[in-house]
Amino acid sequence: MAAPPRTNPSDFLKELAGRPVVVKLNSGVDYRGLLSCLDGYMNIALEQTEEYVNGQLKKKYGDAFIRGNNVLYISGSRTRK
Amino acid sequence: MAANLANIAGSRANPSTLLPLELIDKCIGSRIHAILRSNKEIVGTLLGFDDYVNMVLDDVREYETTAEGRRVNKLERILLNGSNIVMLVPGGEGPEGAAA
Amino acid sequence: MSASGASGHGGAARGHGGSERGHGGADRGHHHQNRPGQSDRNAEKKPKETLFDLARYLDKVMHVKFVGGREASGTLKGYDALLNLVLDCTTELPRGDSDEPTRSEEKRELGLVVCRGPSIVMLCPEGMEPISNPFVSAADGE
Repeated sequence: MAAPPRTNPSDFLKELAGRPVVVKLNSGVDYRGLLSCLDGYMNIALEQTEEYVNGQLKKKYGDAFIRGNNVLYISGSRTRK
Repeated sequence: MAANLANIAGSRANPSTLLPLELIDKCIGSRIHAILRSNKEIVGTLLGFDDYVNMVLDDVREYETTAEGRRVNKLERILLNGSNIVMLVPGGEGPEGAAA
Repeated sequence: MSASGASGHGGAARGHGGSERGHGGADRGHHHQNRPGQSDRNAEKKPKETLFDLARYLDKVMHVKFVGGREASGTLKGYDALLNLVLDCTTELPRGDSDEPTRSEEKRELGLVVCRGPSIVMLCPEGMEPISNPFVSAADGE
């Protein structure tokens, strides 16, 4: 039986570097921007960041740093340019 | 890596028992339902995971159950932080499947 | 734009304060157990015993409480040194604490599940729940 193709978290993060991502926090707040880098704690640095609260754009930041313990998930957006 | 950890972690346990991380490893490529510490649940196709059970999921639905009802959010591929996971249901189709 | 977010998720649930988590910190311990320098020593020694010998409870029904208030019970089918559990025929119970109206959920059958060790607060074998003190009533009767 062939093992199903697997993408581990580190592989996925390599794919995502420099691409537009959505970072959702436990509080429900979304940050959208370009993933500049991140580390093993899921601390994340974003560029051209937009902050969404309740789905509404609240603020924009040039660069933003997110502490990893608040992160619920990181999602790549293939559809976004 | 994860399978390796499963072996290490299980070396002290009874070898005849079902090791949790081995079970998750077997779920790769199939649907999995993650129940989180909050009132959220996530269902997706498991692509991989690491030692902390951070998981890469594809074709994701995010469910949030509140007093007003259930909110569903669809996502493509995500990396789910493992520190919020409480339970993992292999093959689970989420709150809708479980309720049926 | 991605499919995410439009619906919004204002409902910040309980248990989301940064203090309770600290990603990695709590889990990281198991790496230290497997450091090359230590593995030789551990091989000579008797394997470290866990406080609670779960082997006794295999195929027994266990009740589990989690961080954030969820509860479940199911038949213990496996476990590891990090207290990850495999439970079969699992039922998620409605939340015990009624002070959080938003978090009430129906009892539901989940089947075979893996419980994450770092999220477990308490586990107890079924049949070990506290009972009322049988001696109090006996004393009162006399």
